[in-house]
Amino acid sequence: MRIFSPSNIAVDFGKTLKSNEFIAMLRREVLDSFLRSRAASAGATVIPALVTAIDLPPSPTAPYTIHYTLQNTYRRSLAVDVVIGADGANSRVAKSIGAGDYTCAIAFQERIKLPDEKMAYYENLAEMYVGNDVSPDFYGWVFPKCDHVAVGTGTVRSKQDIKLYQKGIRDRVHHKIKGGKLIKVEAHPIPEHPRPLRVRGRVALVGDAAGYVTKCSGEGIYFAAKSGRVCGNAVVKASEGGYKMIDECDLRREYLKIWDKEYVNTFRFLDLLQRVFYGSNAAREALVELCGDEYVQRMTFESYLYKKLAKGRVFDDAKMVMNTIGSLVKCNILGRKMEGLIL
Amino acid sequence: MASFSPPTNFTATSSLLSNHRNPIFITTLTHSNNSSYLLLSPLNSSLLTQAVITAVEPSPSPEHGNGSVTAVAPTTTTCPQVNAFEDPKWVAGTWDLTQFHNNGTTDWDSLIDAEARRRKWLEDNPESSSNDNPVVFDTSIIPWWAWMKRFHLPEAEQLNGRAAMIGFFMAYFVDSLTGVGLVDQMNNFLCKTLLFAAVAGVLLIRKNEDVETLKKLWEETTFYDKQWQATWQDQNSNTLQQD
Repeated sequence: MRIFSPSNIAVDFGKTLKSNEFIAMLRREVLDSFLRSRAASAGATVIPALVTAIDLPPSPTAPYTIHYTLQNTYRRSLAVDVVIGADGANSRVAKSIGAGDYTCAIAFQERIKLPDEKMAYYENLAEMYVGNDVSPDFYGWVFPKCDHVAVGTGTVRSKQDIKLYQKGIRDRVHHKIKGGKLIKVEAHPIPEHPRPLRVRGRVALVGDAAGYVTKCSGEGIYFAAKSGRVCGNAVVKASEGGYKMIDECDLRREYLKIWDKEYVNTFRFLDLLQRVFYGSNAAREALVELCGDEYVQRMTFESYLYKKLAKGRVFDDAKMVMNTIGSLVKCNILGRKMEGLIL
Repeated sequence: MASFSPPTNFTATSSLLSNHRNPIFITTLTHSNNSSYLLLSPLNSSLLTQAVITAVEPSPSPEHGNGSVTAVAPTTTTCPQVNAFEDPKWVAGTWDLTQFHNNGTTDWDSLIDAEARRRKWLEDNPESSSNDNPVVFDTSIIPWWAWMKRFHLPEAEQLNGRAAMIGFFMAYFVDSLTGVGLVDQMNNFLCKTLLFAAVAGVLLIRKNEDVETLKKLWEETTFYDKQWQATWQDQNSNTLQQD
């Protein structure tokens, strides 16, 4: 992956990747259908329908009632004991249990089909752009998706200017996408932090519905899948294979507590990175400078690929901290000089 | 301080400029190479040419529809060469060190200034990244002592001066009030704590605005954590209304 600073200084991020490691580019349409068919073959009953409402039970042992619409016409209901809400950022399940709201970022993306010679450049390369012209608090990207590229950006605080930032990222890759054809435009909210309530009664939220998206990189796919698994395991364990009724304490103990213990530090760390490095153009320049360092790359990829904050040698960590401080100081000095310039 | 137009106006101007050469603008840039800080704002020059352009061509080309979803090609304007960062010392995507010589040694100060100017220019006129002219400048070629001599030492002098003044005055003040001399003050735990607080204060609060900045920083640091713990806060109130 190549990271471009606001002044187009580029670093190649990924020099330390071994041959079996890579940065995955995801095609949701393929992944989603795979997950559904895998669930079905494991014994789940898949009902393609739109959930319209969920009735909370009147007593602790009564079932939840899920109202849904089949094929846009038939309305049905289903009585269930446990509900796991995995319905994404605009979760209906979350609304029905009063889980509370969260601030969202908006991610905006355009899929562009490039001519072959330009697509060859992106065959094994993703790009990331940082800068105030691209986003005030996030990054812009060019991600290859097999036969076309996705060019997009995102923001939390200036959602109404998203089109402007999209133009900004397109201008930054102007030469590389010239002659491309726009095939699709997508936008989606991305939660910035967990909902105030993630478990209530016998309803649990997982994935985007719960708000498990890291800051800084905006990664949510892994945490969605993993939280689904942890929650599923929690239900199985607490209900002893489906024979005992569970309650909220079981879900909290087996799902939330385990999840928080495992991942809250990862989330906190990425929040810290976002606050330090995405604040201003000067900080972004420092970020790109630091990403050129091999130790930083190795630590980043180990943490990203194996989802555990990697443990390095203390001496190298200390050196990295000194380099971080040094880069931030140097780039902030340049930033202050820049403020005093009238160009 | 310069007056910078908000992004909307700016991108409109740059897209207008992209189709038309701007002779006024280029000569301004070359003339001003010797005067470091008083470059004519490109906005001003572009406003002049804008008048010229609108007189010559009645309307900008239709492909400047910025947010249009139905556009076939993202943009078909010619490459905006005019807005590219140009400087005789910026050669092939990096600074040419041979042009920064000063009596036989490299003048790092002017290199730092030049890089600041380049970044400022690109901040105001974002440029497309290009595979043909990549930027290969690496700031690590500037030696650490150049930064130290120019930026760290003056500030260190100022902070040390403040600490010394505070230290001397407070030592005198405490001595005159309590009769405890300097050596005995240093053996006292309360005095050592106050000394630590004074040093920390001098280091952290360098400008008046730093007090507010530090308060905001503390709030921000703990905010994300609070959002994560929110689900546990409600535990007591929730168990009362089990459904």
